[in-house]
Amino acid sequence: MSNQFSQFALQPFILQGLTAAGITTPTPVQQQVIPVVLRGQSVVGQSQTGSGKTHAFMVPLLNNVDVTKQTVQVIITAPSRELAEQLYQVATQLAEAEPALRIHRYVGGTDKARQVEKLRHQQPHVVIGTPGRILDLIQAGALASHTAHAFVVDEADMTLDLGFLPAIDQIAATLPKQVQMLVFSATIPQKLQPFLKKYLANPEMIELAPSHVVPATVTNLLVAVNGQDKNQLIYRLLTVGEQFLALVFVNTKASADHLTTYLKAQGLRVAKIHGDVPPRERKRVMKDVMDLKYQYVVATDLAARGIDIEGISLVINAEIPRDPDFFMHRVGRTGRNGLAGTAITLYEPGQEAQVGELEHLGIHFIPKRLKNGELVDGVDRNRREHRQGQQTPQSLKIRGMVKKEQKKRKPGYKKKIKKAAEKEAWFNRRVAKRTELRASRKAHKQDY
Amino acid sequence: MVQADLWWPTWQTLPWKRQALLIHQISRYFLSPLLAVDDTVRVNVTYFGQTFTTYDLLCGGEWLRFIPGARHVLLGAPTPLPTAWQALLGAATLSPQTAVDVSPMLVARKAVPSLEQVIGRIDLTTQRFSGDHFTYVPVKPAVLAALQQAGEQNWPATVSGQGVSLHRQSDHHYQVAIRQDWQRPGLIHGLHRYGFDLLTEHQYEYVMSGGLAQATPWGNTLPAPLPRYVPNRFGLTVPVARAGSELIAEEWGKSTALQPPLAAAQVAALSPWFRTPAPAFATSTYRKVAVIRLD
Repeated sequence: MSNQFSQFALQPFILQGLTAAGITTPTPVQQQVIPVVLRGQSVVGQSQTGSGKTHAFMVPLLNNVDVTKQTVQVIITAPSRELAEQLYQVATQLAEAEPALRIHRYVGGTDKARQVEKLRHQQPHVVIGTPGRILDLIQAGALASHTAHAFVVDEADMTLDLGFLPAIDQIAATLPKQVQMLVFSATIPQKLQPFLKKYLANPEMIELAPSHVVPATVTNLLVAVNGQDKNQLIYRLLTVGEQFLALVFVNTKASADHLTTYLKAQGLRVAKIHGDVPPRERKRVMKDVMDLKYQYVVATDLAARGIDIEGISLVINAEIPRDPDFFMHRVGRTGRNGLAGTAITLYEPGQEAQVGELEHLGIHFIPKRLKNGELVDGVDRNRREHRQGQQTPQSLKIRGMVKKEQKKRKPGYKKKIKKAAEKEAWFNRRVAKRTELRASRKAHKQDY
Repeated sequence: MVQADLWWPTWQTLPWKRQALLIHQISRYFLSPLLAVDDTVRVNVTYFGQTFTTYDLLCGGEWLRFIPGARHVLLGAPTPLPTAWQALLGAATLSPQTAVDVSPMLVARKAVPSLEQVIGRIDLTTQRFSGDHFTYVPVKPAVLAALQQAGEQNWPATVSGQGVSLHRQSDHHYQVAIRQDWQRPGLIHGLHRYGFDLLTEHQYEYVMSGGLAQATPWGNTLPAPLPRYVPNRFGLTVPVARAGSELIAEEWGKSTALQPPLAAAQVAALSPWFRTPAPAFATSTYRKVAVIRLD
């Protein structure tokens, strides 16, 4: 099988490196970024960590390195040593088949004098490191950064947070005017804007954020099935309020069939979309759904890909999807265009781990339960873990006494403490009562 | 025995070992010691893709099914009737809607004609009887003669002998029933003898509807063509063709005689909420129930 990266006309050693790492298909992010970087354009990429973006910039940059020149050509900075180490691993792995390509890493906590000594003899082609150490080396006159044609700032917002931006600024100042600048960041904070404006003339703005992020307008509710009839529960949830268009997601075709039959038997107009519905029929159903002939749709994950309907007000996850990514897909159907949407996820006993996994992905669930045809607040699943022992407030006097008596440990000391606490409580109650009475008398007096 | 374990929805969440233990205890303490429990079977009932797990006990020739109790379950038809129910139940006499607690119970899987009393079952090969032996001994010759006759006729579904009826229950067994010339008090007295009772209206409605507030056990509409048996959430045998009403503890009866194909007006009788003012005793059927009360 040929490597699909060959479409970018990369050098053979890069392709070898990719194939050796088992990377054969470019991710959507890589599809977008690689051609732009190959052209030599500057890029501002907004992306989450782990979207395959490291390869997206590393592949074209290494590709453009001219190994016949003995000068620094690419400088890559990362805010932490660990991130720099990761970048270095990726780069060396890609360039394994080209020994002439020198990649060096410069991070804090290593022997600077030795690095300076080495750099006096030979300059690397690619520099990867933390901003502080790279700047040190440049200022020491060891690293000849003025020859670089590409500069990468990875995790720019984190760099900003850690206070490395002045260092980056100083490094950038030593670079040639026409440097290709690549800035990657999960968010583009306001404070980063002056820096971007200063160094990037006409950057290509690429949003690398995955398309399936749950919109903030979606309320995620969690309802425990707990042995109730799930079909009935879904029917009740669907009919709780007036729904504009409600989508019910299931995992299998069989359960889609069962649920549709059940809801139809209840007299609801339900459309069913799954892989076994023939394409022509599916098209017709989709058209009817668009025309709002149906108010309720039961669908499986794969079939749901094509559903892009405006105004879905409710999504019910009848079953927790096997892949958490599908959850985003499902829930992302509602709450579009800033409209409010509700997503209800049903879970059964034994599925706590799956719910926990989703919560780990950053989804915040509000526990609810159905009571007398209304959704009311449910109990927190983890209430036992968050439980705190009951504590009776103790006054300073009693606390002091406890300390003293515990030290002395005379017979009956616990009883003594208890008695004193009770006496104090009784006294306080009396005082409170008296104050209350006085207040009411006063209020009464003012009436006349 | 924890009371909540026998109630919906806790019952559904119990591990099978716990369920089996509870059923064993129930069979010991809530069934008459005069009748032995001959068999216990675990049953999975699938209703619109949702599985309900319960147990069947063979007791005195009849299969009894364990039905978990339910709290605050809505039974009966609401007033005014929801629009979705109008088409099916518009003209019928229905029980009014109330919310009740229904205790867990062991209920007969099948309704029996009111002039018959099931006493046990007999093995075709060994001719061994299991069930209520005291009642069996006087009718034993009649049963054996009827069994002989059934063998000659290649084992039909029902055989009648002198004062007894045999109903084929499995490939190897006939259910033995005595034909009784009794009225309603006699029937109730006969049931009480073994600690059984007639279903109350609430119990009947819960058992038939599965505790779901819908027009029929199937839903608010009926499948077309109508099947021979109406599906039930608890997996009870509910044939569409009925000889007459079903007797309950109250004076009125539930359902009425039906013979498919059904006319539009007759369909309402399939609803658990349907009432018949004065059912004819001779053509009626009944179900025995043993209610499990822990308080």
